[in-house]
Amino acid sequence: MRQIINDIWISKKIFIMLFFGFLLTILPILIALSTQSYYNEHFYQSKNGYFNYYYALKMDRIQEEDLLHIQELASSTFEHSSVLTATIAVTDPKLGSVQVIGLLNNKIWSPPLLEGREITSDQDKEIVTGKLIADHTGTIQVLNQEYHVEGIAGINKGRDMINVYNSNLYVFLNELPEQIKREIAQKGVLPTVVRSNRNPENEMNRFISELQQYRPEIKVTIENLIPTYEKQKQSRQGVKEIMSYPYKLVMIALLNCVNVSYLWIYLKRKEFSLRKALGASNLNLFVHIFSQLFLCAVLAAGCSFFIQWILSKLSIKVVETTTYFISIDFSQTIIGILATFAVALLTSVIPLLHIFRIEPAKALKE
Amino acid sequence: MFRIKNAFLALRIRWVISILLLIQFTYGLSTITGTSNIFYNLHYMNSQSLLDLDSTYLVVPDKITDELQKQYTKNDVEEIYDNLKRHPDVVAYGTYYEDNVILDTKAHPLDPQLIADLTNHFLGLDEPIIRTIVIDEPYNQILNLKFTDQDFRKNSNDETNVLVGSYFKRYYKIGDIINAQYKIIGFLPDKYIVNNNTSNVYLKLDKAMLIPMPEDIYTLYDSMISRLQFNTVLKLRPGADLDQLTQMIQLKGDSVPLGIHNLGENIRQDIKVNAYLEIPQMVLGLSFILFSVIGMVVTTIVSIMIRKREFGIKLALGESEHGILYQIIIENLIIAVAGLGLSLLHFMWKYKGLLQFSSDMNLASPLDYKANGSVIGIVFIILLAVILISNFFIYLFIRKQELKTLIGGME
Repeated sequence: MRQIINDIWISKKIFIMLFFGFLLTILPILIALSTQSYYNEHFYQSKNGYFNYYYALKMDRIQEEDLLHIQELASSTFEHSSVLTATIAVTDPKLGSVQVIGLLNNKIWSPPLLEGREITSDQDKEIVTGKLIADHTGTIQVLNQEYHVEGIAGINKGRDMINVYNSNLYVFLNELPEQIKREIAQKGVLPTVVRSNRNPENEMNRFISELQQYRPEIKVTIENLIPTYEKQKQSRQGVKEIMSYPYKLVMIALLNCVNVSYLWIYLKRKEFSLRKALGASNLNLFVHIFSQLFLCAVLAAGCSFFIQWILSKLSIKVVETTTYFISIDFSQTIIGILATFAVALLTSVIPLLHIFRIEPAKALKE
Repeated sequence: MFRIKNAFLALRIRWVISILLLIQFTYGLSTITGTSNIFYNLHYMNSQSLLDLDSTYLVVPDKITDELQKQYTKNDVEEIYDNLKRHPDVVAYGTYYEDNVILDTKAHPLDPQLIADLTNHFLGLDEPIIRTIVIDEPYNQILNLKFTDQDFRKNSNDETNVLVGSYFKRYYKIGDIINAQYKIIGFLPDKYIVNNNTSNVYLKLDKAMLIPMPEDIYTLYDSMISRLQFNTVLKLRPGADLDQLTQMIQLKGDSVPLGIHNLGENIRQDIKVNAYLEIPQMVLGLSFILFSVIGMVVTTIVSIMIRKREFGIKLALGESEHGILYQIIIENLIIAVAGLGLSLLHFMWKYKGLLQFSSDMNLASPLDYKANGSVIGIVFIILLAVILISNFFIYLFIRKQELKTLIGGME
């Protein structure tokens, strides 16, 4: 160890450059990972919460009077699943654009709240809304019907995460505004989404069979939504753009490290030629080169984790001003450690190739 | 020529690190092109408004709804404007609306380039259009344009005087008539104007047209109520009582309240937010500059070390240190220029959609991406700075070299 530190000290200018290169390689990776996880959460919040399974369950030939029965049936048959209607977009003359979501049950999920309480009753015209619909609890008119706002939906993790819920309005299915109920009845279609952390197929089958016992003419179709959601998640141009910068920085910094390591090995080629001439094997040379670069990378990683920890204390402010979210997470730390190893390995490639190919006699003669 | 040939040979010898440096330049300069665009646009927004930023205020509804204001009359709207006219804090007020004038290509053959430039692919239109702001007489006074009182006494189908953007100078002259209706009486400065009170993007005037509002539309109730809510511009004295004016512009019993926002504050806030959003890009840009300098210095030092005998012999035969530096600068310039070219190609490929959108919509906004002379100029200056700084360090390195060390064993 002392030998490694001594060698690093001799080439300190080179290693200072490498240290900054490694720092600006590892830190952006950590920031990119936590930002990616933030925007993944953002995406799933826009789908009303993260679950392992999402199924679209579309009911055809529905009548207005069926809604209460469907809600009761969903409440009794879905024990481990959350069921809600697909988003119904309406424009209220006073509120403007409103995204209405009808709850069929609220056993395992209800909208996250910034203030107030969940809706519990499906008889008392209770709703939860985003901040743009109502910024405090109380009574409001929605499509000419009076409702009581019990809670304000949102997650206090930056403006974007609150905005996801801004125009949403959550209400039990049988308490949907009459105008929406009429539109559902006119179309005869009720699209719903079943979400669960366990496979909900059994619960869906039970629901469908009981629904068809109630009214055999109702036709139900099921579609797995995971591929659609994945496609939507991957096609977010804004997120792609945000994520491109840290990875560009990683690439530029890594290329710089490779260039500097090339200079380092060029300056040290006589020393390595001598080692080779004195019988050092390629493995010995690899260990010698890699250990120095790895130690430098470990120091840079330590510094990166420290900066990440400091910035994570200001995560909300950072995300609101720069759109990057910085948090500390166990899995990200593990990936960070692996990245440190990979960066040191990649930086050693060119020096190693150079040293493996060097002819000691020729190099020593220069 | 000989030096250039030598430079290419030198780059071939150190091709691995030269390619790495080229990749670094490509991505780095591409990012800097994006950042330069944003800051160029922010500067443009701060300095090129046709309206005075400090004294101009926009009437903005709190919410956008589709409720039609049927319960009011023209008199209600006129009363609000009369009150504004009498208020001591109000210097002037005006209203406008945005329109698209479709160019008649059948009756009046037009230059193909004009048609291509004015065809809005983003809006999916097949015909060329001129984005137009139709202004009323009081707004004309705020803008201090060339229109006369008589220009505002005409109806929709009458021939009317218009002002067009500087782009049209290539195709029209004063006195020409567009679509047999719009007579050009002058050209607009290369500035931007508000085209939607509820948005934070603005219409650039270079490809736009300003038209006096026809009398029949000015007095139409639907247009009046819509203009009051969405398209009213106020010019106020400093320290104006905004609360009182806000109350004054409300239609009694209207569920959607109207607000008064200062244009300058809106723009400056937008600039501030976007400047903060650029922090990551700036970090990337600065890192690129730092790494490019390091990269250039490092690769050149390696190159000199590989060819130390060549340089040693040149120095021994009477070549000056400057001559050696000149040779090195040529090598670095080749990489830098190739990197600049590749970075522009990368930028145009990556932001193809945004560049097309910017070109079609012609809006003043932070994201009005373009690869014009100004932006490329900024990128070139940054590149030049990188080359100068790195070559300064290389020069210091060359000066330190001794002839004896360079030619080694050939003394």
